[in-house]
Amino acid sequence: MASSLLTIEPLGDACLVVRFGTGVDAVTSRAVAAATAALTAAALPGVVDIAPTFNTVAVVFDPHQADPRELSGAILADLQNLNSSAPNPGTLVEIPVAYGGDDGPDLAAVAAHTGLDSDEVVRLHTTADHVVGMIGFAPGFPYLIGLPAALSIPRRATPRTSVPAGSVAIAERQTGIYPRTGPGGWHVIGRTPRAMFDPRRDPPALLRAGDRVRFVPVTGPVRSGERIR
Amino acid sequence: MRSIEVAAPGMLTTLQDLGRHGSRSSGVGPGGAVDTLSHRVANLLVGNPADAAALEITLLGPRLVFPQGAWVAITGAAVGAVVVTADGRSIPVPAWHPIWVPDRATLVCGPCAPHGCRSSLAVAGGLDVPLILGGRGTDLRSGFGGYQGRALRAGDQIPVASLRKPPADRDGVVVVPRTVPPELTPWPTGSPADGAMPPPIRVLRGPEFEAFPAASRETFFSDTFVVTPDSDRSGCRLSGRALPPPTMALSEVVVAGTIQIPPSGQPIVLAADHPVTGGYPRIAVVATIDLPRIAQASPGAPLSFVEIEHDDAQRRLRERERTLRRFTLGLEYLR
Repeated sequence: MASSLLTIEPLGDACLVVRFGTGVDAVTSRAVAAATAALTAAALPGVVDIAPTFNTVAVVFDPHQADPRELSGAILADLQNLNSSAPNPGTLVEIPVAYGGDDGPDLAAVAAHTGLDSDEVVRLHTTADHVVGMIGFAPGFPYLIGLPAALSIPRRATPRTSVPAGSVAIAERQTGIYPRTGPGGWHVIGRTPRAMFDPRRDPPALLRAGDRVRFVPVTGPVRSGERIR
Repeated sequence: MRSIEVAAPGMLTTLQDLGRHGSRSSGVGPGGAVDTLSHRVANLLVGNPADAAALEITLLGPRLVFPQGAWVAITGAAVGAVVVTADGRSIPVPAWHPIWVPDRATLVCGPCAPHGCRSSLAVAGGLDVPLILGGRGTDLRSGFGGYQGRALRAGDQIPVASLRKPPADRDGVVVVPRTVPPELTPWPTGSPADGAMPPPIRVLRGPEFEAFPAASRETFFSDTFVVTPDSDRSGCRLSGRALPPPTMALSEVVVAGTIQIPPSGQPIVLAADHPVTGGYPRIAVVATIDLPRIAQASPGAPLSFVEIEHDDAQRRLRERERTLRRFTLGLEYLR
């Protein structure tokens, strides 16, 4: 990861954004995860939070304490040291999912759109290597990249007003998992009993950017309130 | 354990501090007080650390019963506070001053008026709730932190951490004279006269600024927008001439003060409870020094924007911090 491949741009006067190009892919995710780990370990003065996205790492600082120019220099120095170190491949996390039925009300629609049968949709989804591109939208919500092209589907024309917690949903080339019940515009193909977010846990989110995810088919139905921590 | 009883909760009263930091990678935004400056000053007035947990009042204040006396301070929007003593006397008390509320008295807060929409109510000793993910603030959307993860309701008993020395006359209402410089309030240029246009909000260009059509960029800086009633702790929503946005491929990081333009073309200025990422183009970001003014922009208030350079934003913020430090030292000397 040569430092010439990254840029640093401000977001207001209390955040610097380190950008690793514009791609959304596993290689970029690994670079972002490694930079996140390095900058977290560096504990630069005045920095209050480090947040990865698909291809950036946001460094949020207290503008009363840190000078953005000095901070920018310190970030570059820290990431240059990263050149020789091997990128962290992330943890492999298995997520049990009950596909179809009440747990995955859109599975049939996805099958119809893609021209596959439902079993084939499940087979493709559970054999793919997914990588957490970022956590966002809601606490603990993972954006997973690596959805097979054969399963690519536009978002629902009309978002659902209520998607149950644990719903596993797809849109475009991504999979997401809803940590709490709420509105959602992706196609729900299954549901997991794993708690994606628990504020009493450290870290509170089950997944981190850079983690690898494998979905494991289980028989449903997943009951509301059922939780595997 | 001392506590304060909630007789009436007001419109939306929550426990807040200066935010929880360090959990963005889990998708947890900062939360905390929307007007952090008023929060800090309220705490300093009663001798607390600036980041102690205090109440954030929205539009209409609560009615609170103090079984045991306590020092309090109300900052931000004035709420026409009145202390009703155990023997039935009603004594109006000013905002921005330390106030002794005697044993068994009730603090009655009214609507936020004439300016602003949020007040901070600090109690000496701080409100004693568990630290969760490094913060004591209430996360209303995820339902954790603060007082049972929710807004206050009638009957709640809010624990207070420790006592501070009562005044000589502990049965009377005491107002300690203190002068808070205007720079340490959300109205640094003084209270706006009725109908007068407040100075524009200072902003830095956002990452997608150049991608906006020229007409949107011009309108953003030339027009006046109006705050709409659907504004909340997650953002201040504006209405005005539409600013057609460019398309955005991916969700990107956002911070408090980020001004997003959704397809409707109507700006949203993100506040404390914002999600950590957003998929709308970011035309600008409010300079930290003007975040308290956005926090106090109530529905119907006019807002306009002006660009500020990074160096200037930083210099002005440093000046304000020096003023705050001098003010804090002065309070310690007088105590």
